[in-house]
Amino acid sequence: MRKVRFVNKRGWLLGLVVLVAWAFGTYSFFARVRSVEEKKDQFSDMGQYVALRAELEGYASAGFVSRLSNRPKNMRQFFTAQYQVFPTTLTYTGSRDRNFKKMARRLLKEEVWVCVCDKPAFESHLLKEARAQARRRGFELEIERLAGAGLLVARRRPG
Amino acid sequence: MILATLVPAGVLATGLVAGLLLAGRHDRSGPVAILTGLAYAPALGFGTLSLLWFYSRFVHLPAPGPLVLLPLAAGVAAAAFVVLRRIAPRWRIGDAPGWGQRQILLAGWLGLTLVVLVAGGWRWAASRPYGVWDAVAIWTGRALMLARAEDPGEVLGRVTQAAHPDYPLLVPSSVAAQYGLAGSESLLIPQLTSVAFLLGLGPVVWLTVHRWRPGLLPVAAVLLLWSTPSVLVRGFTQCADVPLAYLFVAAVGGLASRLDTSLRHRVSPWLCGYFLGLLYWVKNEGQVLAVLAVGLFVFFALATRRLQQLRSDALPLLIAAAPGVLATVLLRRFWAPPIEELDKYFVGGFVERLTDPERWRTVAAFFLDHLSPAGQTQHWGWLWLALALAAILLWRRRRLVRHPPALYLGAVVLASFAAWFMVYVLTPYGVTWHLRTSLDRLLLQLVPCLVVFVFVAAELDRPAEE
Repeated sequence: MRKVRFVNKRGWLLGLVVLVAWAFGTYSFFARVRSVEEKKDQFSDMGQYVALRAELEGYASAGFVSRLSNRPKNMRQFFTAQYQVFPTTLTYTGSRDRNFKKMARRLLKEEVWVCVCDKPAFESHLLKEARAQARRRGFELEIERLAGAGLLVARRRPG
Repeated sequence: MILATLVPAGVLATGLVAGLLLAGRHDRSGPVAILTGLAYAPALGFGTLSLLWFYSRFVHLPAPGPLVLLPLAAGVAAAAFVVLRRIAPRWRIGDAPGWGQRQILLAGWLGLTLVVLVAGGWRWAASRPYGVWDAVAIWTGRALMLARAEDPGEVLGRVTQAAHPDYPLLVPSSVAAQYGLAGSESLLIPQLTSVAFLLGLGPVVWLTVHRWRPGLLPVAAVLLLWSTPSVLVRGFTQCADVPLAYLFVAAVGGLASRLDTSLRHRVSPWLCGYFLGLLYWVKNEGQVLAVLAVGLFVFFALATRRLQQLRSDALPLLIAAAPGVLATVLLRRFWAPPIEELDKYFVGGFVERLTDPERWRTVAAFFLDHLSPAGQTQHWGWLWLALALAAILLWRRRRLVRHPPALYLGAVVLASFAAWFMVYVLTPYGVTWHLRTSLDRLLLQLVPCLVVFVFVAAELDRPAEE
């Protein structure tokens, strides 16, 4: 390999430019890592992840509810399209629905359901209602949270 | 979990050994050897596995299992042992010629960059285990379908148009093949495959720049690329744009070396052809880029009166590219449902879209915003600024004009940017929506090639002949 003399002015300048670019690029990368949990579009990606997991875990059907500030309609279209391929059928509960009793009753018909939500109040109302209904019917809800608040998988377990 | 790690590692290791075997004599001696192997490993490992899987399933054979692949890997290793025994590479860095303190310092800097990117990338991979929207909708979702399907052609026929059933299968089929080998659908498999291509991008860029500008410049190119947030984020969230960018550099860098008869270590036309075929087999955009790369290669070979060279290269290039191209043709003809989406570009108001000044303005504004050193720093860091400064500091335009490989690289980059610009001008969808959702990824496909061009065209030291 040819030996490079790193002594000329242009070499030093290039080294400096690359060093600054490297430092800034690395800083920006970590800044994006830190902000990723707050990014709303993450929920739609995670929603797909969870729906695929329902499929992987072998549930014939899954419930799904989303309450997002962005693209809920898009997500519904996506899942409808995707589940034409996968055998799992998806019960979608409208995100604008404020009737938590009706929503929980519908979701609890499924062995597993997923809630993708960036409104903590919506999630806590739904969970409170779903837990109460589950207890009345003699089973428990096992909740798994993914990637921080806002996304959960709920499974039916015998009480 | 152990098998899910061992399978991608084994595929990569086989690709590395095959890379050493297929590399030119110069590329497999001294410290260059390992980097050459690493540069070619993802393409030869995962690319070949995907083609084996596709052709087996296409003729209704079971997916290739350990009984087929283990003897194949052992054969590659045995051939490498026989061929490489005489060229025993010098593994100790200190013994290698030209490796002084500065080079070791640079290697340390590269090592630090690797540690930093893996540390940050791990959090991305953990927060989006199946990847981002496109990865789930197309690559990882498709891999699951292919791995489970009795008849993959029948399953693909049911995929809706919005989920791109026509997309070539390099990434999904290599992941599906690994699911079969590992006996599980572990998330580690697509994640490690994606990271292998991201890490392979460094050595392939290094090797390409190193052919013309050994020393500091290739390291600077890799450092810039591996500290660009968009490249890292897309790599860790399983976007197929990173494998595409990797194959684009490998193919175009190889073709550029074929244009330089004074170069001692040109890439074999067989390897160039294989990379072109895989570029065709990775994504729809790869087909446009492959056609551009070959078209400009023929143009430059004719313009610089290398007709004899072109004649001798044509057959190996075509034969080696055939597996990838043929797989794409067979997929479209027999497996994927007919796609109307692509036709929409050329029908229904084509002339109106082409002549609408508002569209041109919108696309130009988005491109400028993305390419401006001041804007989009969260995506691109200081990449554009650093490249502009490197060009101003290091280019000697008079000498550049007499350097066909650099001119070829520049022409490919320019034509690719122009092609992507026109894609947006002619898009049948909302221009702003299309730009907002994909410009970042389309630029990412071209960025490594642009970095290679800037550093191949640059000159830090005076060449020996002057």
